[in-house]
Amino acid sequence: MSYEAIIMIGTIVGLLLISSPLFLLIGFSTALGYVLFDDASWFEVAFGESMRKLTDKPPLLAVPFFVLSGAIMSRGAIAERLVNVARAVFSGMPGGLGIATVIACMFFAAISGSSPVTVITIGGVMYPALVKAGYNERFSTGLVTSAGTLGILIPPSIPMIVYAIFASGTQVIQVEDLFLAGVGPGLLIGTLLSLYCFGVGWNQGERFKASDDSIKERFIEGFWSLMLPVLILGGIYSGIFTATEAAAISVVYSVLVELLIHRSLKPSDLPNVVGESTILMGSLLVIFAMAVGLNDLLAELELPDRAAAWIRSQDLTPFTFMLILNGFLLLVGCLMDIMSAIMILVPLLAPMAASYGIDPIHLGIVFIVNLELGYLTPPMGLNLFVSSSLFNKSIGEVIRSVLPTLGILAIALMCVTYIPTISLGPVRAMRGEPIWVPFPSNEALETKDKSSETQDGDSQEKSSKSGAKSIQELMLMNSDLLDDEDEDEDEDDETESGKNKSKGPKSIQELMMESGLDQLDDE
Amino acid sequence: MSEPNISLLKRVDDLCYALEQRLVTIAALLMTSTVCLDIVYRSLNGQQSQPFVSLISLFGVFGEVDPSLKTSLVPAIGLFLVPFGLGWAVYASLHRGEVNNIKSASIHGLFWSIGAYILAILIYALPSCYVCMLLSLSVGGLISYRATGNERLMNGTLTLLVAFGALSLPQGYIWSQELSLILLAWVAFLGASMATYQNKHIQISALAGLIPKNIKPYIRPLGLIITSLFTAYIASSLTISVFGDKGSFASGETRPATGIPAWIILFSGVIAFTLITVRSFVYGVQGFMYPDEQVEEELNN
Repeated sequence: MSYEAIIMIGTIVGLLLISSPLFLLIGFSTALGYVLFDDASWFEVAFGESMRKLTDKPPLLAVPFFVLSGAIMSRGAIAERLVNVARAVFSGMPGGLGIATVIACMFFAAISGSSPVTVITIGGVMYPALVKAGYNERFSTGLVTSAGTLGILIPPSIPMIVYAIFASGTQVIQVEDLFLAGVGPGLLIGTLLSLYCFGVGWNQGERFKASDDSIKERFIEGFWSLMLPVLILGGIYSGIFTATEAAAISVVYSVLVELLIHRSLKPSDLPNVVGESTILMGSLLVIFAMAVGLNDLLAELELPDRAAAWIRSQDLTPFTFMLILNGFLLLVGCLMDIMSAIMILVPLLAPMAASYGIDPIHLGIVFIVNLELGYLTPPMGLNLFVSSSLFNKSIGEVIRSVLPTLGILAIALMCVTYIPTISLGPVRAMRGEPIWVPFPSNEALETKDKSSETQDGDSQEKSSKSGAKSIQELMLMNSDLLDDEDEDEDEDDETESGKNKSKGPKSIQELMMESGLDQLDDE
Repeated sequence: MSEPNISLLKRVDDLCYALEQRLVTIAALLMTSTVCLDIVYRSLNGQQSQPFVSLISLFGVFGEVDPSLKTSLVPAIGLFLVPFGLGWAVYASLHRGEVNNIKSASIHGLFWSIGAYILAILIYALPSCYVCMLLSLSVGGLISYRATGNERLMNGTLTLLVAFGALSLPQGYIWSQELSLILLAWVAFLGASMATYQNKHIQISALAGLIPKNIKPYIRPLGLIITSLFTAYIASSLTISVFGDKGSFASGETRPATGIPAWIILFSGVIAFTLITVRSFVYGVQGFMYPDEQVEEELNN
């Protein structure tokens, strides 16, 4: 190991030992990386440039808007309203109260954007109710601790926005597509957890009956809270506004609802609510600014390409690659919070996955489901600590309580990983394409490699080194294709009017199709 | 450091925090407003998107409906239905959930729809700088409502500054995204400074358990001092990027849509990282002086 690497590792370990803020860890490692590996002086490190890049990423605007609308909506009695709706809907069904907990957690976590807050808010209401209804304490603790993690799969999801931005360094990913891709896995996990509750309720003979079971009244009470995800998704997919604009609309909507309808907010409360959410935004966006610098360093050192080439040289099948990736991400989820993991790892892992023909949207969802499990795994599983302090239980007890739900989430993770249709199906359906997406096979990858070697003389050398085309090569091909398009404008007008309405950057799917990687799907 | 000095530092720190809080509140609300204004303006702008044309086409009175108009109908109908529904709900909320008087509720809803149309037409017809000025004054008035003396003074001054600043904005709303992104930089960096005040920066404490117990009280102050050194480095690096010979201040570069000088963006970083440096250093020194208080604070967090 070189002395530069030893210094770098020593610094990181030192900063981890003193629990330094993450922005310091990333920023200092970046500066040190430039000095050690790129022969730059300390004041040549372009932090200004990476911070200026904050203003070059319009999708980033969605992050503060969603954080703000979540903070405003959570201010009121939204948890109680959602719980009442869910209880009324599932009243009388075996395991009804458990299912109501899962659904209320899903919606609350999606609106508030915070899994630990969901445990505190919904768990605080539902845990005593579950125990009172005859569920054992371990099941009740496990359920309320786990169900809140679903929120990051249901739009509006801030981790998805961050993923789209960081994966878009090398490939174009629309936040809107990611939102849609999260719906299938979110429903799958929600259904599996509900079935688990149904089974437990059936065995225990639980037939919860809401005392005031007027669905209509409860629905009217919770209507405006339930409408937020509908407004966002409806607005985006009806083409009225983009994801960023939807985020701004959600702020206006939540202010109007909480100020005028729910009346849980006063105008003079606004500075405090905005101030509190700004602290969250600030702590997040300063890491973002530093992570942009880190990504610039990685690109400068060509690490993503080298990592992709190395992983392809290991003769792994796409199946094995995803298995290893899942194991790695589960480990990362145990040690890091979800946003930091996305910002640091996505630029490195996305090119590797692309070299195995994994769709970046699919990868994003796999990434998020993995990190979702991180909320429930020690030593960094935040929900475990929240539950432990909220329900006065030892960490060991809470860990044991979440084991069954962790198993369910692991099954869901495998389904989402190896059946890409669960995530990509709705996206394809929206584009008018066939919804079935097979998992890339090794044979298909090899066939593709061989055909690209024989077909393309010049690019053959590059392809044989990395085994498959890197994203950068695909982008280069894309720019060549765009140049060709300029030469044959007439032809383009005819062909592009159908599928590609704009001449903007192409999606990775289109790039894959053009480079022949789409054959993987067919084969 | 004597007690009175600590108290003075604390008061200055609190005042800075209050000012930051007001600035980010106005910036966040301004960001939201400008993006929404842009959506409304764009929905109404252009011949085919005008609500009147859309509504006529809805009924197909003048022949077959142009397919492109169908998409523009949605904003027009939404502009009627959403405020109507909101008006209904507000009425119901005012009358404790009783909506037996459907006629009154509907009239209330209708007023909301008419109000929304008038507002939309104002956004469409008035030059954007006046719209923004009026909006800034309204938002400022709203958050100053029932505020106490000092808070009202602070909110009022900032509101007037923003309102007069809005007068220099160019026509149309093409600048809205650019302005929002500039404000985002300010919100982000001032937010980071506020997170230092509240000790709410995201940390990875996976290895913290390895530290021996007797050293633990000194670890956080040490971390704060190291943070202050690093942020001082960032602040000076940014100062060079802004005010150096080849910096954005000297180059006179401006942002294309708003005409705002480019150095304003990075200047937010200079201010915020300087504040973080001072805060981290002072908190770190305090931590070394009173290690027991640090432990108590960590336990509270």
